[in-house]
Amino acid sequence: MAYPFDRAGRLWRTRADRAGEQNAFGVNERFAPGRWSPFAPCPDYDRTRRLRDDLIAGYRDRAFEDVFCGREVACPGGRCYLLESRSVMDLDDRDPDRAAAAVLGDLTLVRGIGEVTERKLKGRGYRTVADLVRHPLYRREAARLLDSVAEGDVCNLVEWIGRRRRSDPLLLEVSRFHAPGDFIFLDIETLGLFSRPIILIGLARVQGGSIIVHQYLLRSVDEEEAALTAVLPALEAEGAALVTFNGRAFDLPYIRERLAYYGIPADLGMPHFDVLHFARRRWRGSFATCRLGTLETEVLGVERADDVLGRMVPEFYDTYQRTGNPGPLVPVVEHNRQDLVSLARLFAILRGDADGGA
Amino acid sequence: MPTAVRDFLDLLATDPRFRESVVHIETTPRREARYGDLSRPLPEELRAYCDGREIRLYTHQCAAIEHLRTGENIIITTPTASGKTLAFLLPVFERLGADPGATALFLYPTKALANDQVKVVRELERESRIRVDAAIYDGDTPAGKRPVIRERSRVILSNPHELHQVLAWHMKWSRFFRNLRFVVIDEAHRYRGVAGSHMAMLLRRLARIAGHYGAHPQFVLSSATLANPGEFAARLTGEEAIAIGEDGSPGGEKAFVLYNPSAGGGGRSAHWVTKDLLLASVESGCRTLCFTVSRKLAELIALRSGPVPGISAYRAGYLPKDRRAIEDGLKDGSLRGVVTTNALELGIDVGSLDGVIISGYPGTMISVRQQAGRSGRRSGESFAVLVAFANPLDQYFMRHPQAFFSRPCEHAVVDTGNPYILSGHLLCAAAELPVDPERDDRWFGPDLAGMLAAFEQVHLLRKASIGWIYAGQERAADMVSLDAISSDTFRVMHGARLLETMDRGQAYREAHPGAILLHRGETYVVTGMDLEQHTIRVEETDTDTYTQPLSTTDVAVVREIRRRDIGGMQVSFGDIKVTEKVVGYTVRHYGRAVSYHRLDLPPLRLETKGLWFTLPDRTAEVVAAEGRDLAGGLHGAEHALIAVMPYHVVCDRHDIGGLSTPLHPATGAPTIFVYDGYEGGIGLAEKAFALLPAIVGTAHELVRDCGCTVGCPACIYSPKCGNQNQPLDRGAAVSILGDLAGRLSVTGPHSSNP
Repeated sequence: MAYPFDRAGRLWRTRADRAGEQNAFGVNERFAPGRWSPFAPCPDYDRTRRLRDDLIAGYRDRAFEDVFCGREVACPGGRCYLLESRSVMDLDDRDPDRAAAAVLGDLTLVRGIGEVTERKLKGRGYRTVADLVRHPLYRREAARLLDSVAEGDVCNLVEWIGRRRRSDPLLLEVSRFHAPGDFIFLDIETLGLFSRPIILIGLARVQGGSIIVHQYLLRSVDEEEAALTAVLPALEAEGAALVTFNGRAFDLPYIRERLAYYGIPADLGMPHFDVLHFARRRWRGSFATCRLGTLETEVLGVERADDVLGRMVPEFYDTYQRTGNPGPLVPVVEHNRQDLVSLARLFAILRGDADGGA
Repeated sequence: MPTAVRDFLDLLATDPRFRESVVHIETTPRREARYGDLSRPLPEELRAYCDGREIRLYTHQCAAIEHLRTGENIIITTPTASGKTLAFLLPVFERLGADPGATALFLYPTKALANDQVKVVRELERESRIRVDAAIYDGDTPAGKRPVIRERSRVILSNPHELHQVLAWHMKWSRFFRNLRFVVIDEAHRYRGVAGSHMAMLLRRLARIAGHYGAHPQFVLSSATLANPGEFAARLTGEEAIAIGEDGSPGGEKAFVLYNPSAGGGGRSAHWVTKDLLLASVESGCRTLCFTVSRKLAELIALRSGPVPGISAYRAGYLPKDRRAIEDGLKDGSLRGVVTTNALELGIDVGSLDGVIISGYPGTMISVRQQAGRSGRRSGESFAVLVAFANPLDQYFMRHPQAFFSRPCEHAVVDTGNPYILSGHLLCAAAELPVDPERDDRWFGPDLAGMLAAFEQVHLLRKASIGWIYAGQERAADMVSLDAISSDTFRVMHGARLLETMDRGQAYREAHPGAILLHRGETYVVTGMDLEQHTIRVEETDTDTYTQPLSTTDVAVVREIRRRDIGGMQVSFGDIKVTEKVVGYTVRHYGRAVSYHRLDLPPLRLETKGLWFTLPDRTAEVVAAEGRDLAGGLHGAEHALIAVMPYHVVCDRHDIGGLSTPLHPATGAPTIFVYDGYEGGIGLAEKAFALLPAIVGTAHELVRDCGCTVGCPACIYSPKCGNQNQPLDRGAAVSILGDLAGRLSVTGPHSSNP
């Protein structure tokens, strides 16, 4: 009985296409604020469409492996394709003393101490949290905080400080407990806002004066499970710390769900620094938006040519899926790579690193 | 001792206004309660709850408890006031009390019903002290509350639409699903036909996900009376269920009156007559619920009852707080009479009433039973009155009371093989968890491999090592809609005040510019309609007139997809467009048309799939030679075909529509159309096209062998006819169908594509 199901298949394809066109802008904002704003000026949309058509024409008959010079890697979930690239970048070395001093200098971290009390206490000679160990009221809390600092327990400290405010600059100081190589800069591209496959997982690390970018690009969506298992070891490694842009609301929950979809157990309890929150705190009101693209232009002075709009990525990947033409994927990969590099540089700037992310 | 009910019935028998029209009274004697015993008593907290309210369990409640205790699924079809809810609440709470992690999901067809029932559940929770944190989880639940409910509640009340969306997030529901012991489906009879197919697939997706977390919940279906409860439950849930239909609850004497305003030769319109009956009932002291077949009539009757206080209309389009106020008023007695559409057929608690007036046959015996079942007390009398319209269908029942009272409730059919519905839900399932053809064919049937392959062709699914995964750009649950209700809603505004909402069809027919609109007893005139903004503006007015729309319905052939030429007949299947155009309206004063006005509204369009065939010239000639009416015969044949289609195509007769005409522009000949009532088509006419010889044969037998003379609801009268079942000619219909059946049986059932 292939016949009725053929027809059924085509019916759903048509519905999917029709809905896709309407939804190029009709995005349900309540699910991922910030990254996918529901309104974009039409000229951008048309421009991106033309870009896609140019790419299809330009890359006709080109094979995937020709266009993307990477290698196949084997991982627990199967095989997937890895693209590597690097550029110059430096981050401050780890500085646990500076981190400790910053944390311990802030008495308001202890429950019950507000700004007024802090002033009073400091006036009476309680300069740091270590001093509070002598104080009958606050000694217990202070001792706990001291322990966390002594152990360099970043997770605990991030949670402690984050309770107060997700965007507290002190969190950036805490990140100095980590060496540059501990940071995993993460950015994913997906086929939609949720309930659809991830099509590109981008990971970057700073080491020895370079930022090394690893991009796991799915040749087809059945490689998703493999790609997830490929990056999991890095994410769950001892001492790893995650840095993202809006990853709290989008990237991390998304990865969690896809892991659950495949039945892959994971903890993902590493400390997480979401640059969006810090950026908003620093630059809100200074620029039109705090989107990564805007900050990239305004703060880093970077202009992108022929960039694909974030919300058009699903359509570009779907076009590749249906035609086999790798052209539409080219700007997606570049977009993701540039996102990761800018993310790392903004992180360095917000933290106040010496090189300022140059 | 005289009672209000007795007073009213005596009035009907003696008052010259009424007595000529009382055709028949069927009295059901009072019924003693039949109590049951449990093999093992209920736990103490629940026993205390029952004792505290002087509740002794009836036989059917005990049966429900026993079967659920042994791990079976059940479908309860006892009437509304028989304590059905308690029959399943007690065993569910018993289990949840014994197992501190156990959870239960309660599904209702509407949010309104869920809102009503959560009070009952919470009350049992409070008084039995069995903590379940009962909560509603639906589209109205604020985002902030959702995580807590998911994490903590053990009884969650929701509806199919919400479940359809939520399944993709099952990771967030893992605790709830892991411990899921019961799935309760209330008003289950609503899920028949296409709606049933969707619900059946949704329940299979749910069971699949529950199984993923290691749970195997029991199904509890609470339903109106059906001819085939066991079969229906099995089709809907995919599992065997025990049918519990013997009602052990007591009942007072009940008088069911068949009332025919046309009997005395009177020509008064139905709504006047209904209003008189309603007022008589209320003034006798009876708390009365009056059901009507249309929203308009509900308002009209309530309006005309104006002088008597305590009467209100009720419609689904009212704002929720207004509806709640009316429900409460009926319950506490501050409202003595309510006129409603079938919106109040649902089990929303309005207390028990003295009498029910049913204005116009509602279309199915299921509805008659549900509506009549709203009146009835444990002891003491109650009544139901069916007021017949001039429609031949209603008149048939008046002439044959025994046929009415012995007519069984309809079969509820659920098709689990419709490829369009099945495939849509397969996509959703793949987005929820990878599909494993070996494990999942129990949910999707033997054709699973074929569907997966077809979807891979169009890049919506992709085969991965773990199974087939969803690869579409669109969210699967957004593409698959559970019903055909459009989100094309219009707002009726009086100044800045929102009166009510309605869909586009209703707006064009009842709230067009110039229409007189009744709302909660007030009369308004529509002064403007903004199609862009979906807003209708009204002003108050003081008038005795009302308006009636005039519309024309047309079917146009868009594209023929398949054709068969058989025995001189040409049968086609393809894309058609059904257009209803509201062309104007009449202003009427006490039933007489006073003026006519034209309207310029865009047409209402339904693009769907249908089949059509023409009558060969020979056949038409024979009909003419016999001196019969061709149009009446075509019309009758169309009704008969639609009446038998559900048995061949497995749908509900409300899922399909038809049109017949002695001359159609596309064919130039007498033509009958039968089409799917859903945008884009849903596979019904397509299947009928393949089975047409059998369908025509059955239709012919139905009409030929019917014992009636001029036609009856068993053969050619349709409850859905837009033309008041006119014109109809039974003899011509027999002739036509006989001829067609003969021609179609000449060749076999294989089609040829054009």
